[in-house]
Amino acid sequence: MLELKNINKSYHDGSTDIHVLKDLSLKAEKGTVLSIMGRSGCGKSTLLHILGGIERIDSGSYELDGVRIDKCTPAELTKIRSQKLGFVFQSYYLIKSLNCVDNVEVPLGYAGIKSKERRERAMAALEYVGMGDYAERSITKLSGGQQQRIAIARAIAASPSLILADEPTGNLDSETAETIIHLLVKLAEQNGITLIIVTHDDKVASTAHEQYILRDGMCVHA
Amino acid sequence: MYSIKIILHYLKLYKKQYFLLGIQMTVAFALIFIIRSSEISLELRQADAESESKVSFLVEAGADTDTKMLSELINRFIEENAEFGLQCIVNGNLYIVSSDSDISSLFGPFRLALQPCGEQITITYYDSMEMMKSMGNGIAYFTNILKIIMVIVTLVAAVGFTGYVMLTLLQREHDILAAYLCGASLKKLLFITGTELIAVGTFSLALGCGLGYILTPTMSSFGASGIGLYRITPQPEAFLYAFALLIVIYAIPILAYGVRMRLYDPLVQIRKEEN
Ligand SMILES: Nc1ncnc2c1ncn2[C@@H]1O[C@H](COP(=O)(O)OP(=O)(O)OP(=O)(O)O)[C@@H](O)[C@H]1O
Ligand SMILES: [Mg+2]
Repeated sequence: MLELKNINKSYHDGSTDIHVLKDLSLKAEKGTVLSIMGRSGCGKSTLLHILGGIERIDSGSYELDGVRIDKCTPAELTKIRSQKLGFVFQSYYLIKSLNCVDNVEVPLGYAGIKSKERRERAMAALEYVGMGDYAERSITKLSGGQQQRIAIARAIAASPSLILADEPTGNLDSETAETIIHLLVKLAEQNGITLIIVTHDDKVASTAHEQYILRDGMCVHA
Repeated sequence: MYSIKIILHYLKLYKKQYFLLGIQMTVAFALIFIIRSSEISLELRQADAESESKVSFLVEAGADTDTKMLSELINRFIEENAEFGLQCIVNGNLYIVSSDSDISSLFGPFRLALQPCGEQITITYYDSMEMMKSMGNGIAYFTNILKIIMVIVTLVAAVGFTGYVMLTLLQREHDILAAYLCGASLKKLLFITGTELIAVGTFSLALGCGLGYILTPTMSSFGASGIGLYRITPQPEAFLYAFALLIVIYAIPILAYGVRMRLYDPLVQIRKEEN
């Protein structure tokens, strides 16, 4: 369960204040898939960063699985990122010097999971995204769609309760985009993970259970 | 431990840079160790020489010298001057006449006493302190040359180190963000990258001082003389000196690195990479 209540977020850029999010409220039950669309610069990424505990809010409250995220210390936020969150970004953020399975192991490693279990869970996640045969391959030799699959495997490896995807298909052709989105939605549904997708693509948005548009700093149903 | 695995991974990944950096630092530390050991040895030997400043007469016999006669003449001289408590040590064709008392005034009579042996023998007046000083001069001169080399190597290593630290950070920003998004704390990531640098520094320090330990005795050859080698020995204190220098020279880049990492903002990095 995820709940944002009347959150506000402004940026001070020199002399001007940009009020990006205004009394924004949003609720998502466990296992639901949400899509958020909106014009460029309307604050979608900002919202996602807040949900991911990377960005602080000015006012309001943010609760995830019964924990007040907006009240957490940086150390607690790190723990939450490690245990509850998975990120999927347009530019993957894979570590190029590590092979596929080692990339998937990263969140498990930092969560303190022992090497044997780490490998097993990483392999299972790779199988899940259909990349089991690529475990020992170098990241740099994969296509964009394959890299995004690895990133998805990494996001689910530590069994998070919330996956945040910022334009996950932004760098992919429409056909690959569709399979990636279906993969994300499937794994959210099967594993009871809340999935929030920010996208520019109507088709991608339409696969979500609930569709929102971010306009004037607020989330409204599409 | 996962952190160790990651540290080893990056040490391996950047092995070329770390290797070059390690070599620079090793050479710098070896030079520091040798120079410092030489300086301390010089001081010690000179202090020794001063405390037991001794005059001896050295007699070197030639190939055709009548050594029997030479021995007799020396022994007679020793008996005649019994009040000085003279002793003679024979080492091959070298006769060393010395005493615990001041015998500088005896040199003239000594030469006179040995005249019957003719031109075949060479007699030298040997003042241990004077000798030590002149032998030490050779070493001190060479030590000074090494010092100049050391300053250059150390400066290059320090500049290289600072440059490397900044380069590492640039190269790492992407990986650091990836690890951060995977639940690593920035503190842990600072620890990981910092440990790599400290590992290279510590390894170089150990290797450099080890190398210095082995090479220090070779400095003796710059102070060799007919009657022996000027002993230059590795000094444990030189290690402390190298260690202090490590801290002074590398504290600045490591500090700069720490500050830079503290200022690392994942949000800034995300915005940089997403656009
Ligand atoms: N650190 C910052 N300082 C000042 N302004 C910022 C900062 N970060 C974001 N903004 C501003 O906040 C607004 C929202 O940015 P955000 O990246 O959330 O938009 P977005 O909806 O994700 O856009 P896009 O679809 O182009 O990715 C923008 O006007 C942006 O310029
Ligand atoms: Mg955005």
